[in-house]
Amino acid sequence: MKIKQVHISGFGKWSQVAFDFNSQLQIIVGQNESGKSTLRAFIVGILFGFPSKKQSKNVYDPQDGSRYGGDLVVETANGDFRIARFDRTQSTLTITRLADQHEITNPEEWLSNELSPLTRQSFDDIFNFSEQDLIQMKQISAPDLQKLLLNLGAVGSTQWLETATEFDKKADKLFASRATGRRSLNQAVHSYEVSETELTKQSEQLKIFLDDQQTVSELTQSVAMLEKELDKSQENINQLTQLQRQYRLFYEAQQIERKQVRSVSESDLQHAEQLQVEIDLLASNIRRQEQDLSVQPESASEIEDSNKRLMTIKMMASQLVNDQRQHDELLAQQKAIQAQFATNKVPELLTADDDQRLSNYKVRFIGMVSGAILLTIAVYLVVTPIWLWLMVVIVLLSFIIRFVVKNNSVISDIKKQYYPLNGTQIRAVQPSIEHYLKLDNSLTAINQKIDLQTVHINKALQSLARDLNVALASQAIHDSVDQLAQTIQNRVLVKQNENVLRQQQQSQLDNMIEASSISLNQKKLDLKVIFQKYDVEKMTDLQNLDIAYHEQMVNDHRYQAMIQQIPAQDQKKLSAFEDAQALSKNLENEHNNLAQIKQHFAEEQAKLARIQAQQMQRVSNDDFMVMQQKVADQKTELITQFSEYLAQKLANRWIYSALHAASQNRFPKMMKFATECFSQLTVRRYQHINFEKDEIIVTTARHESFNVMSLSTGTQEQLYVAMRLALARVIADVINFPMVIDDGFVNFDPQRRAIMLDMLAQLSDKQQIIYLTTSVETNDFPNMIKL
Amino acid sequence: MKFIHAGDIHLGNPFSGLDGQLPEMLKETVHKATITAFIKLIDAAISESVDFVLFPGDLYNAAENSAQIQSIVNQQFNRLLEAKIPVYLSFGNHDFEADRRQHLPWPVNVVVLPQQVVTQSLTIKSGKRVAITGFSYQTQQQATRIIDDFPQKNRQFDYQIGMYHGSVGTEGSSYAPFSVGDLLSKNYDYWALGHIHKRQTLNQRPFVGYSGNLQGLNLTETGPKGYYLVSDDTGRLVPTFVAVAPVVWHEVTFDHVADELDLIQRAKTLSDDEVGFWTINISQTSDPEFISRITHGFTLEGLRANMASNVWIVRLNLIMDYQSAQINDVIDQQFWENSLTQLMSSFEVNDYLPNQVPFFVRDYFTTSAGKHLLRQRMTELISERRHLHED
Repeated sequence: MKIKQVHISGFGKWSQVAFDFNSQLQIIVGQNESGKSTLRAFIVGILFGFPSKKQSKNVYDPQDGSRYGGDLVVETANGDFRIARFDRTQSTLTITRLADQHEITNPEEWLSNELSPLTRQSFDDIFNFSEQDLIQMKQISAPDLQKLLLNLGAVGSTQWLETATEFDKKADKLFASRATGRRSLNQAVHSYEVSETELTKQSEQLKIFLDDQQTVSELTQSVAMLEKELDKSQENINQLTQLQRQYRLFYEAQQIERKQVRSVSESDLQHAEQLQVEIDLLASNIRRQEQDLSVQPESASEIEDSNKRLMTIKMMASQLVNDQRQHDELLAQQKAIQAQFATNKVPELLTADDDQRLSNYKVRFIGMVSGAILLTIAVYLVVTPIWLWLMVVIVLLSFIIRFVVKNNSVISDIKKQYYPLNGTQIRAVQPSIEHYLKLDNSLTAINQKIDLQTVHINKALQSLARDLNVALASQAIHDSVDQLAQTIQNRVLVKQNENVLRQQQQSQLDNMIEASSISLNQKKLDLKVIFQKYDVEKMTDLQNLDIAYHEQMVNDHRYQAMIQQIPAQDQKKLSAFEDAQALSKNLENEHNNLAQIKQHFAEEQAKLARIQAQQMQRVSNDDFMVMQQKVADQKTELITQFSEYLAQKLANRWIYSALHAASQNRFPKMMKFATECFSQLTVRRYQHINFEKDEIIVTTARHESFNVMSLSTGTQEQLYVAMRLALARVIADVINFPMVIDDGFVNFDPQRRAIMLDMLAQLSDKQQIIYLTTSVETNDFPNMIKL
Repeated sequence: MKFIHAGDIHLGNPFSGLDGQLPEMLKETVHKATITAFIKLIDAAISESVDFVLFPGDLYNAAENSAQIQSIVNQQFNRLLEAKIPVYLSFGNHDFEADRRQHLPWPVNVVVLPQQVVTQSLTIKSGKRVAITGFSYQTQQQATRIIDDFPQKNRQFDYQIGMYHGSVGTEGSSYAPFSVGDLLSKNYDYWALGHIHKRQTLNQRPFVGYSGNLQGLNLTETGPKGYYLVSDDTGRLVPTFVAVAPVVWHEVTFDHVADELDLIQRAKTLSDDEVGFWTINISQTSDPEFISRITHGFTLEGLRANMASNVWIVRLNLIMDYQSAQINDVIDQQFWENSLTQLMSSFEVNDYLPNQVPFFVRDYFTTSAGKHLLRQRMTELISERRHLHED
């Protein structure tokens, strides 16, 4: 695009003016305040829109009240067009194709397409070159300049670099990477961490809650169990109390002896008794019959006995005969002795005293007198009083006299008795008398014996007779004996007859006995069967058994009557207790147990209630969710803020990266022109510009290399201008658009300004250049507009 | 035959994307939102006397929950127990450790599917026999093709239902990758999917799809949220969506908003029976002052003050619609674009954020969403500058 004409209706100090532009280099010369910048602003305004009040201070309202705006006639690939823009606010854009005066229907779009890809900004960046840029350039530090130069290949690098720095600063204000940073984002992070820690702490409450819930379920179980235990214990107590009430009855019932006694059937017992009676009867019958059998021998012996008794009597009778004979002999002897004496009377036997007197009378008399004399003498010698001695003599004399008298009387009696016999004879017959006396005794004895014997025999005879049942016919023993013998003989005969008869009866009895025995045995066997059935040995046992059974029945009934008052299960329980005391003890223990359980129950219940209340509180507590939401909000906030931080940081990188990429891409194309331009501007002092890594090195004709930072300000400026122009030139290859230079080289010396002008003239071959300047050293250029 | 399919309950999960300025009244609603929705679901299960309830994963966040959540889950499942309604529960990527962590005991009507694919059978009230086949996550990810472990439909059952927490993907994807064809090949009568929060149908006959989450949890989870009430329609299991979420997220774009007043007038037309959380995008607005007020948050503040009590403006976004044109037309566009691509591809969050920055922040910016956000914000920043430079 090239600008051919400028028509200003009203814009700043300009109104109703028109300029025709050279299509190559158009130089516009004017003093300060002559309207150079206003003209430039008008051109930009028509193309990119008028400035708004908000955007810039100067809106170039026409000073003389002309209508704001104007138009440009431009040459494009599609011909010439008039671009007219009027009014600052709600401005109207009209574009007319000059060839046929056709008005473009969508002028905004047409213009946008025509300018594309240029924008006001990129136009400023690339093709608008002003004093401002140089001033700006001078203000930046050397490293930044280097950065700027390095990025100069990109559109708008100056501003982008500023922006990048600004982003970085903004980001750094948000957040400091160092741990001790106190920027707002650092604080937000800290605040979030505090919340997060609190949340973690609260989430640990969950574990406690769950643990406690476990405890709750355990306690609930425990309480339920205790409740059961409680009921059970209470029931136990009730039971035990009940048992205690029943114990006495139970105890009494237990005291009733209960034996397992076998019952005896009535019929068995009756049958047994019947059998027993029959057995007894049979046995007694048999016994009697057997007795009957044994009676006969006794009868026979009776006869025999009678016979023996008779024989004894006979012997006794013969003995009697002998004794009488002996009696008669003794009597004869006595008579012989009696015959010796006159009177036929046998005197009495002398006594021993009499005998002595008869034989020793004289001797004893002499002895007695001699003794008396001797004694008289002896006493005379001893006893002094004579009267005493005389007394003794008298006594003695009387004594002797008396002796003599007596003796004579005795002897005379004896002789009278034994008359005619003298003393000596008397003495001789003494043994005979003695014998006679003996005989007398024997006779007496034998008489007694005979009498006795006689009585015995008579008694025996009479007894026998009585036994034989006969009357004795005679008193004489002999006859009686005979009579009895005869009787016995008869009796024997009778007996023999009887025996025959008896033997017949006996065999009959034997038969009967045998029959009875068989029956008896049978009955005994029957009875035994019954006994065996009841395991007894005899009838009494069986009867006792029956009695015992009936007693037991009675006991049982009593027991049942008592025990029925106690339920069966209670009986079983009661039987487990040794005694009433054990039961009481048990009840007491159960009471203690109950108390313990109650206490435990109460404790557990209280504990459960406490934990449950706590759990309820935990469950209804939504602090956790509130905190969670708070943390979530903080997270959102952190993400937002950090994305802001990161976006700023990254935008910074992005800018550098984009600028660098663009520059890297353009530098090779720019370099030829930039080097030439720089060389000329430095009057050939510098020959080369090199980009080495992140440095720009310039080299002199004498091969001295300098870093940008070590160059003088002027040289730096020349380098900058050279590169800006190079950029514009490179881009002009793509976009044909006028370059506007507004006092771009104001600081250059005239020589360099001339060089610059030369270069612009060369440049304008390809691209229209509108050069606004305060002064120009040459008038070589046609169509120079002077304001 | 009637049952509920409810994926991704996320009980007790906080909402993300809120800035802490929420009024107290709404805060209360937000805290209880997932719980309210869950209880509504249980209420419906009982009132509709469904045969069973399926929760294909992410019932709650196992790592972060409270006594209250535990107790609510327990209470509500016990209500189902009383109503004799069995619950089939499989764990997803958020509650994968639910069974390993200490928790209140599950009521007996709750069947927790194990890590391996198992088939549970039950006979429903109508006498029909139903098989439910599924599995639980044991780790946060399930990269193997567990779909291959699902058996073919067993013909002895009247219905066979697959419970599956995962997303369509190729082998090696993190969340039990499957293809719709994989599922269809099993010949099941219904596939109750979980994991994706957006309600969507992958296949109509038989139904394969996500019920979406019960309550939207952030500004991207817009629209009514709830569960599927599935019933038999002449032998075919047909889901009917039932909305229960007490808070509904929305996103709306206003074009050509003249100024703040205009914005407020337009925003006042936004209303909702429930509590509505709105994200408002403003596009084609070029008034720099307005834009500046928006970017500095003044507009949002004023907007919020003018809204009904059940309408909350979560965010006010500027859609920089001039940016694309500007960037496209710039001479160095290619360099800028390349640089951005290069920058973002080589972007390492740790180069910018030290360890002291919470992990979730750094982690977020490694995700595509995080990177996207950065990219957008960077573009905004640059565009804004470009715009400023213009003036």
